[in-house]
Amino acid sequence: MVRGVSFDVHTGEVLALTGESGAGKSLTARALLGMLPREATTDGTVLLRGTAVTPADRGRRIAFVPQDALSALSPVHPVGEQIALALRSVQGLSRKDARSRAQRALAEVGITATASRAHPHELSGGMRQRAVIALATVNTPDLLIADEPTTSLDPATQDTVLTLLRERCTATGASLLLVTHALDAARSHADHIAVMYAGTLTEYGPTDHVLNRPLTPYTTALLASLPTADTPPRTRLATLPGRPPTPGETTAGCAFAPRCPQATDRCHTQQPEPRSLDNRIITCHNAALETP
Amino acid sequence: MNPPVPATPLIVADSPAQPTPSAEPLAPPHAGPAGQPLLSVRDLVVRYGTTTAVDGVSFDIHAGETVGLVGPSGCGKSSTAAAVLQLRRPHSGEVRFDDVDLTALDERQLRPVRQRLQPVFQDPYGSLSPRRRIRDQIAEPLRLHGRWSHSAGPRRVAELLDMTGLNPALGSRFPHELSGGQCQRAGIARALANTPRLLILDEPISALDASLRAGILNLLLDLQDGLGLSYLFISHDITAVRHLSNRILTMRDGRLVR
Ligand SMILES: Nc1ncnc2c1ncn2[C@@H]1O[C@H](COP(=O)(O)OP(=O)(O)O)[C@@H](O)[C@H]1O
Ligand code: SF4
Ligand SMILES: [Mg+2]
Repeated sequence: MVRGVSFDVHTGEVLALTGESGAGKSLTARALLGMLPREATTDGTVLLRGTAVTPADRGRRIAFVPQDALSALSPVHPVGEQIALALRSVQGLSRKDARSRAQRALAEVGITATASRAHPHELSGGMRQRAVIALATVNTPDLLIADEPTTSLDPATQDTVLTLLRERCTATGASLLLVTHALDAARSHADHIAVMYAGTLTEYGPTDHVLNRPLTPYTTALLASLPTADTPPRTRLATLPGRPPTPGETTAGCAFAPRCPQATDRCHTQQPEPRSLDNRIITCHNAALETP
Repeated sequence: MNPPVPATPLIVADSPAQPTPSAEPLAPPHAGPAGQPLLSVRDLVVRYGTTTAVDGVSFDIHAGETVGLVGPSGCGKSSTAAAVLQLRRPHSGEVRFDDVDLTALDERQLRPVRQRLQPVFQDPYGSLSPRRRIRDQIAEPLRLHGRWSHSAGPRRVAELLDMTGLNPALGSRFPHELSGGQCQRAGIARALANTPRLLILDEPISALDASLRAGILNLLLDLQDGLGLSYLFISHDITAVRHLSNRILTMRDGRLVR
């Protein structure tokens, strides 16, 4: 369902993995985490800082922040205790050292000593997600994967939590793979962006280049369908015919061909392969740099 | 083949099964006096036990107008929507619709009002019954309000599907056989069945993908132009709210803020 996806997350940078639901964002993220359902088959390697990630050290080198903070936290222990426990089991700290280190980790995400004694259900959604960020970064992973980490928060809190997430990654030296369907979040927080459609990575490159000057028809169409501050109010937005393919649905050619305004004959019969173009990687037969 | 669909689908053609209206204390179905708002909410308070979810909210919506309602989750948007719809009776305050205070009406008296004041909710699958065909669910409000007949009923269902951008042939499908966007369109088609004046849209695009959202926003704009509908549009997608609304209300902790 996700096919031939290759990308780099540079050390210390933020890469946004974006696309509509069913595009394969979460599946890609979970493959990296080794959390795929048993019936899934995987192939390919994950290299972190030049060394392959083995199942044994995956848990230590890759951390995860899910959409639902409650699923990452134990309901029965105060959040401070949970972080101390993670420190003791991974870094072998003493009980006392772990406690003070956990306190510091929580302070760094804006959680007071009093709040660190609260159970997850006693905290607001935003506070809970802060606690998860502290938990995910406390053992200094190489890569942090956050899957729609702010979707359940209100708009004002979303940006604050994303900013904090990015700060904590920078401070601990972790790279961040931010899985998000929200292009504005990607725009303000990611160095690079990878746009997926139907299990394929359609366009990858520096965020501002991809979002300001998309080269593939899918990125172009996606951007055109979103109203921005410059869109005249109440005008009709650009839409695409049809719908995204359901996961597992296969086509002979490009998966986007049935909806693509630029499709040519070849698009319906031959699957495009990823290729480099300028500073991007694109998967499209027809995309080309405009000649000025 | 479906019979041809009239161009201005404003009125259900014939409705022989319509009962003679009982002595409902209601204004005529069309707008109140010029300048008078269609909906006028005053000092609305909604409580759940000791929690005050809506704390003295007042606003108007005029005919043909879209009013956006935004604010953080839990601030009371859905509770406001439910109280306007009288799905949850407010603790106090007035909800004047077509110049009738709905809070003073009992369930039976509310029935005819509900034709003209319809909700559209976020979860397109959750708001339709999974076990019934789309066409039967769109027909349901027509039957319920005595507007179904063997000749005009199916024609009206086809017309509603067509108006909401769905191929009438999809009427024979079940919700799980439709995409999320198609389901949301079917939900809107059902809300339109009895020619409402005001739609209360509570996060109607939040469950949809970017490429489908634009289609629903365009549909809402088209329906408003064609039918003169008013909308209360609740969404946390502030760009979508800005795009659609004539005025935007912001809510925080149960109150409107400026
Ligand atoms: N059925 C309910 N029972 C108890 N409390 C509720 C119920 N529905 C909502 N609330 C509470 O009312 C407040 C407002 O919620 P809601 O109207 O759903 O806000 P919004 O739609 O803006 O997210 C919240 O504190 C919420 O927890
Ligand atoms: S390969 Fe063809 S169908 Fe696919 S995105 Fe490019 S132009 Fe469109
Ligand atoms: Mg709500």
